[in-house]
Formats: sequence, structure tokens, C-alpha cells
Amino acid sequence: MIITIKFESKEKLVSMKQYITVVGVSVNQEGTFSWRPGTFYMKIHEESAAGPFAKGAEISDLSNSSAIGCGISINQEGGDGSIRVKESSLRKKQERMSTKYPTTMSCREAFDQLTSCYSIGGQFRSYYRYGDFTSCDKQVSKFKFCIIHGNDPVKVQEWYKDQVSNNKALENTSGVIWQERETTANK
Amino acid sequence: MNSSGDNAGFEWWRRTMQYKTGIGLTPEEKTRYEDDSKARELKKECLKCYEYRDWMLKYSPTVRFMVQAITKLNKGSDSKFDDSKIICDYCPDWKGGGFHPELGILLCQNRLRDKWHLEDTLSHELIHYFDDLKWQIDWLNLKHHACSEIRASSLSGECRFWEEFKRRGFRTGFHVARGHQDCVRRRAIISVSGNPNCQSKEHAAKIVDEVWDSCFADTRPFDEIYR
Repeated sequence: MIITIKFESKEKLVSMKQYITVVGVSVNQEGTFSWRPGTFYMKIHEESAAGPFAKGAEISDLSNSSAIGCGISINQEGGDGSIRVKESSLRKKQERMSTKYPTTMSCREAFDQLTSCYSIGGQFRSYYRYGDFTSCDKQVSKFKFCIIHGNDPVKVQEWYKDQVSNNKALENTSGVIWQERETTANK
Repeated sequence: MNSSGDNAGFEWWRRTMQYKTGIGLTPEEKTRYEDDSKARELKKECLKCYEYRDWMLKYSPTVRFMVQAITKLNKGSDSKFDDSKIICDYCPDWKGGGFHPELGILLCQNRLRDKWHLEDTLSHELIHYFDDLKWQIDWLNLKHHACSEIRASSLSGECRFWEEFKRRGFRTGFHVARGHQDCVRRRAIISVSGNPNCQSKEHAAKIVDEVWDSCFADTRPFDEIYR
């Protein structure tokens, strides 16, 4: 028996896809997932999920079940085994995200940056460039953020947005020397 | 005899031996050999320069990042940045390369010591290219010129510790603390001195000090000083 999840539209599939990982399943052109019972599981990347869709939980063989969690409901319909997926509360969160910034952050990379800053080479480089040793505040705050919020795509995007606005405040220093050109890339 | 035959293979070896030993060497042949030798050296330098240029465009992190940044700024524009904008040529004066807003980037094939010197020089000129695309720069305005020189020297890697230590490490006046800034300032003053509107080295130093705080802190397109 083939179970199929149908999204109401292709756009919904695209917007939902970032929250769902289906193993052993391919997404076809019509925007449906298809798989055989017992050979798959589905994860939903939602931190505050409860019930069968709790973080890391695995769902198998939906053909005989009806599951509800964190704004996603899966209801079996009809005799053909198709399941319609609806989404509600995730939409609000989805609207706050964009494709411009990353949604993941590597704690190992943040840790590497921190250790290289603290290392003899990093401190020497700072002494050579700026005349004093650095306390690596930026790297420490990034690593701390990653440990606490690294798995939340919304918060990770907000962090990157903050970095960009902070950099803009600093980087406008040379604006007193020359005028910026109007280019399409800047808009 | 054809000229390419004269300058290659056994014939070139024979002419070299003739020149070195002086056996059967006539004044005309002596002059011709010396001219051909210079031409051969120029061609070898040119080929080496283009080989290094292509390698850097393919593999150097700094050069690749700068090319990406320039391409992003160029999006939607008529002019396109590609290999043809970076040329190698002979330079009579003492410099590693040059930048012109319309013509592009020049690498001095007879001045570049090795592959990594070419990387530093190319990165330096690419930052000038980036500045010219991003800001309205009047290259005859000393403040604009000085600002771009400060940024280019700081971010290109030509003032990194080992490079600076190799060349000046045992001279008086070399300090580790803030050595990067000393190097950047010195190089910027030398470059701005070459501007037609600059009256003297003291004038250049004054301009560089004037714009220093604003321009040294601006590390765009890098997040920080990368090398």
C-alpha cells in the first residue's frame, strides 16, 4: 500500500519542506511524498513540538493513525491512502524567515574560531595588527549563542541579521571620505 | 634562418656557447645575441606571469573572494569583469602593478618575485577595483586615493607579519606592536606620493593621517582583516 501526502499547493510544499525531513522518500514534481509503510520515518524540525512530532521523534506507518502536533495535522482521507497535510501556526513563523540568511550554524566552526582566536598565533596577530591582545568577545558570544540557540532556524537567522546591521554601523566609517555609488547590488 | 629557429633548441645553445667563449663571435652577432636574450627573458616572464595569474584566479582564497565581490557589484552593469581586465606587462618604474578605472589591472611581470608576491599584488589591485565600483572615487583627490591605498595595503596581505619581517625584520624602526599599521601607513604614503596632485612626501603623510581612522577601520568586503 502506497501512502501519499498531498500538499494543498506546490508553494505550500516549498514553504513546508524546510521543516520536514523524510528519509527514504523522494519529492516528485507534483509536490507529493510517496513511500511504503515500514520503510520510512518523518521528522519535524520544531523545538516546541509535543506528542508524536516532538523533536527527534519518529513516525512510522501513518496508514492507520491520525497525528496532530505543532500546527501540522495529518488526517487519513479516502480509500486511496492519501493524507492531506495542513499547516497553521508554522505559517506565522515562516513569514519571519527569508532565504537571504543561513538557517543553520555549526558549533564546531564557532568553537574553532574561538580557539584560533585564543591561540598564541591569534593573540600574536592581534598584537601585530592593533598593538594589544584581544579577549575574543565576538567569538565567545557566537559560541555561546550557538550552544543555546543553534538548532532554532528562526533565531539563527535573527543572529545573522544582527551581525549585518552591526557591521553596517561600523563600516560606515569611510563614508565621510567618499560617496557610495547607486548600484542594483546595494538595493 | 628564421628567428624562432635561432631562439630555440640546439641553435640557441650553440649561440650561447659562442657568446660565452667568444669563439667566432662578431660584434654584430654579439649585439644580436644580447637583444635576443632580452626578448627571450621578457617572453618567459610574461608567460610565467599569466600562468600565476590563472592559478590565483582559480585557487587563491583572497583573489577568488575579491572577484566574487566585484562580480556581485557588477551585477546589472554593462561592463564585465573577467580575465581580460588583468594583464601582464613590462614596467620601467619600481612597482608591482597598477589599476586604471577603465583599462583594468596591470601586473608588472618584471617586478614580481614569485607566485605569492603576485597574489599580494593582485589582491591589492582588486581592492582598488572594488573601491572604484562601490564608491564615487576621484583618483586625483588625495583623500580618496589615500583611503583606497590604506584599505588595499591593509587587506591584501602584503603587510602580514611574516612578509613584513622577511623584508624589514632586522632594520631599525621595525616594531611588532602595531607593525601592521606602520607597514600600511608607510606603503600608503609612498603610493600617494606618486599622485600628480601630491606636492611632497610630507604632504602625502598629512593626507594619510587625516583619513586614517575612517579608512583603516573599514574592512569591506571582508568581515575583518583576513590575512
